[in-house]
Amino acid sequence: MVSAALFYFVEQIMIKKPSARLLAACFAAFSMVAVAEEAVLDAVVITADRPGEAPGTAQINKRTLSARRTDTSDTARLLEDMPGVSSYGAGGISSLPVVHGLADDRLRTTVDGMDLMTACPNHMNPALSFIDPSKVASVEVYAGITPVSVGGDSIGSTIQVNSAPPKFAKLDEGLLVEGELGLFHRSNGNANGRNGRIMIAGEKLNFSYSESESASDNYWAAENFKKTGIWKNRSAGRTVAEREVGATEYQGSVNRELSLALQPFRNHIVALSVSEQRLDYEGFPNQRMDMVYSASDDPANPFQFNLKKDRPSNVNRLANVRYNGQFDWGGIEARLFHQNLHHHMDMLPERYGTMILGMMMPMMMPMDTVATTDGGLFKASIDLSDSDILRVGYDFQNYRLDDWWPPIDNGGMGPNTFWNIRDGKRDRAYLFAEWEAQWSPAWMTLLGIRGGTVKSDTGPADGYNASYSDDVAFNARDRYRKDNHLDWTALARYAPDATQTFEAGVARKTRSPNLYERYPWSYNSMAALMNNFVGDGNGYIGNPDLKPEIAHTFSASGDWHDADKEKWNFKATGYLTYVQDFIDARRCTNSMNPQCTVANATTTNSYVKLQYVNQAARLYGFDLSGKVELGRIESIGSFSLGGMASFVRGENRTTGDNLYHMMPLNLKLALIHRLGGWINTIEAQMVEEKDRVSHVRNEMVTPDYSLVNVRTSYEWKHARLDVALENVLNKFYLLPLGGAYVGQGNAMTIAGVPWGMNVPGKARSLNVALNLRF
Amino acid sequence: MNKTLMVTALLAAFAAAPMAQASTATYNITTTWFEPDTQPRDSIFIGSFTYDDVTHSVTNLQGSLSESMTGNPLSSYDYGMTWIPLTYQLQTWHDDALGGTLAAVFAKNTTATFYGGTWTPQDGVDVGGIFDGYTIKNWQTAYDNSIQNAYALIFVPDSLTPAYNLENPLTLSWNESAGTGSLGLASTAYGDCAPGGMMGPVCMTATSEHVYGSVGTMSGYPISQTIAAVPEPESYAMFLAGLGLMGTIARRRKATT
Repeated sequence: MVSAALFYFVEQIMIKKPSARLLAACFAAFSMVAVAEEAVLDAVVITADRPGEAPGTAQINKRTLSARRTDTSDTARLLEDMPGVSSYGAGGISSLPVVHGLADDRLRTTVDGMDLMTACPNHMNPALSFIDPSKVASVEVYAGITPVSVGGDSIGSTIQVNSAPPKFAKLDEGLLVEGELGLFHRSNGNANGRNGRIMIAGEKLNFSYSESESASDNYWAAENFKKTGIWKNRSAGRTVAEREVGATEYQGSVNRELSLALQPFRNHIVALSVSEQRLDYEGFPNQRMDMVYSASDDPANPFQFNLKKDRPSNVNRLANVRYNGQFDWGGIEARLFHQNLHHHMDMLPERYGTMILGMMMPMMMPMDTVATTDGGLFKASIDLSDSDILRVGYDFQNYRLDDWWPPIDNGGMGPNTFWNIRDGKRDRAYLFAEWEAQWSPAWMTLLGIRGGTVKSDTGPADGYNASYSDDVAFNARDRYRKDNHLDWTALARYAPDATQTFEAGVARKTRSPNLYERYPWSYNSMAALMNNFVGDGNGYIGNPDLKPEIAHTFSASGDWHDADKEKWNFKATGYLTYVQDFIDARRCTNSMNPQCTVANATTTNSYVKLQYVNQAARLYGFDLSGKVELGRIESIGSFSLGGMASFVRGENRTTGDNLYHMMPLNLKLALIHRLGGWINTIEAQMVEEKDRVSHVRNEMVTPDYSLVNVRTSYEWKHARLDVALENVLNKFYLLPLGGAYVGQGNAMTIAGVPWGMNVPGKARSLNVALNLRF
Repeated sequence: MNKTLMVTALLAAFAAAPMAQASTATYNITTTWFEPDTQPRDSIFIGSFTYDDVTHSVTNLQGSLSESMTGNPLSSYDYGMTWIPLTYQLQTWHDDALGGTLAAVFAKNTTATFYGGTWTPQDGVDVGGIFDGYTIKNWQTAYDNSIQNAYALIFVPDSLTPAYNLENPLTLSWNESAGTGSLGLASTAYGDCAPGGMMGPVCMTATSEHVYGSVGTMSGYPISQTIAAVPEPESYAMFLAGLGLMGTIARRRKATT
């Protein structure tokens, strides 16, 4: 049975079109998992829920994190080894996680407990871009029903990414000193990076400092993928080759963190950390701008903008104070944080421009954003009895945003500053209560309720000149909005014996529109193109009248495993979400505003202008995951097989259209060999064609594909070496969630880059990482 | 009396004859370049020229070019756009392959428009629409001191005759996405380096990708052109005088009868 399944596995890898057999392969693999009886080996990559953990969660174990870090400097991509999780492509370190078809602000993403905010009309700086993968010690995803104690202002899952908690020396252990140094190189894109960490801890005090750096050139696809025409030969810098994926480079990404933790008494920890993430520049192949700094050198010539690729274009500073205390009656968690984010965009010279006098003369369009976020949490967990826990709490977040575009001439893009969002505010505050009851060893329930408000507002807008006249109507209207949220969750877990666990739950969750959904006011094409955080190449216009999204979700899962959860397990999860007032998009018509053409309403083969609108949506799908220990051969080692598959379907129930960026059916299988500290993995990924696309956005179809990756790692007491060969067969493929390719050409105009190109995936890459510990 | 009527009729006929048969006539022209990024405003050249339909020569071309980034897209009529006078016809040539004459009219008495003193649509594409006189440092000052030229390049088909008039203009169209229509119209272009046409140091332009390899700097491209003969004033006067005289005589004859 095992060999038959393996044969099928290899066949699936080799066949060109896996679409018809993908599901069959998936079930073949899992049926194999279910019947396997050989027992021996260690755990596999993905760990499922653990008894005593919050229900509905999945974690990535440390070993998986180490291996994944070899392949990516993008923290969001670390999550792709979890069932139901994928990511929207963006810049090299700024992907946006997607869980069960919901992404970005629809998820609640926290980093070390902080609800960090993006500050960019393209969401170039999402929460997970602020933590380097080398700092990530744990990832927890509440993929199904999210308990109210960790949710709020989101309709999808909650993702919690955390760095290592502070350690303290044991009594009479003396001073505890730990350090870590890491290096990596990836051949495709010539990506390099290093990281270091030092920690000194006594019984009551912990001090740590960490720093990491990474950089990458543009990566390469396995085949040519660009349309013909001289649109792509307009670089003001070096020529971008046919297989080179423009605007995927990034340089000067540096993360630093200084942490101090105090443990005055046992079970009471106060921790303070300050950190900074800065980045010189980062390209975005599916956006019309890049993260790059530009400024005038001469006050007398304020329009004389020059690119400053050696100056940080994005600086995010964080201060995080937290307290965790354990008492006889329960525990308290309290946190306050402050985020200060300065962000600058313009266009990398390789996109468009001219070489004049041997100098680069790129098209310029500076855009600046400054935002601050203050947030906090107070949560008490009260042990009502041996089997009942009450969690009550309060959390808040206050967000301020200015987004302006300096003038660059006295003509079409001047002489005034374009205010996209001025004095933007978004404040939220919540109270929640949650009761977890262990009725019996088999039965557990979780009931929670969360209520609060989200208030948003913005000041007057302004255009470059009188030609941007939509500001008159926008400024004349009332822009303040207050949304009341009421969320609740009911979840039950039933574990009739040691080999099976079942969970089911329902939830109502609410999310208010973000500032970039409500307040971008200009129907001008160029301005609309700049307001796009989904990477589809289109232009977006805000809608102050948007209502909050309200999602009703039902999710159920079954987990079958051996009694010790060591030898095998199989987990299946199904879900159905109905979203009232889902924020989708509609075509801007000529009757709405004369700046939208008549053709904009119906065109099927060009980029378009869209406006956010509330509609009804339904999402449903399933995740399967499992593992099996295949056996051990003396002196050769042990073998195990793991796999997961995900399917999601998203429908707009108002228009009958498909929702945007739904990951097609996909399957991952991994065969793992282990001998002492040596681990070898061969993994296959098969992805179905993405043909259910959002027609309103003219989203493009992506063909099916199969990839093979091989990895090997060896771990010594003080070192670990990881070597991976990604895309071994050098297959060409288009990323289903990679977005539209607009990384070259005159991207600031709606037709300057031909419609119809997707962002491709990477060609073969040899990745090496070395980590030393002491 | 019959002789008088005959002479008068001949006078009117001679007066009318140039309108129908003359080799040289004056024409009004409107050339429109579609501007997807500044809708509903397009870049439009409205002007006139003299055309000899025997030699296919275009002279006295002049008119005005609208700047579609100016004005107010929400207002009416011409949206209050700035119009640049173009009065210097400095380039004219006949293209046998296209079957027509191309003529360029400039705002200044020089063709220097784009970087390097160039002007052709292909030059504009090749230099990314950078204005003539651009300097790496202090381009803003360089721009203030530059020529700030603009031009429109129009196409006159060999088939043009005075028979194309206001009621029956000669109309050309071009479908950029399909690449169909008049290639002569597709060869037209404009370049606007006047202040209202600037995006930083980049001038606004329109070109067809099918002819020049790229659309304009704001994705503009040609879509339509209409040409209609303008009856000359003196011809009108003679014609009307003859007609008036005929009417008077006819009325007298009727009264006499």
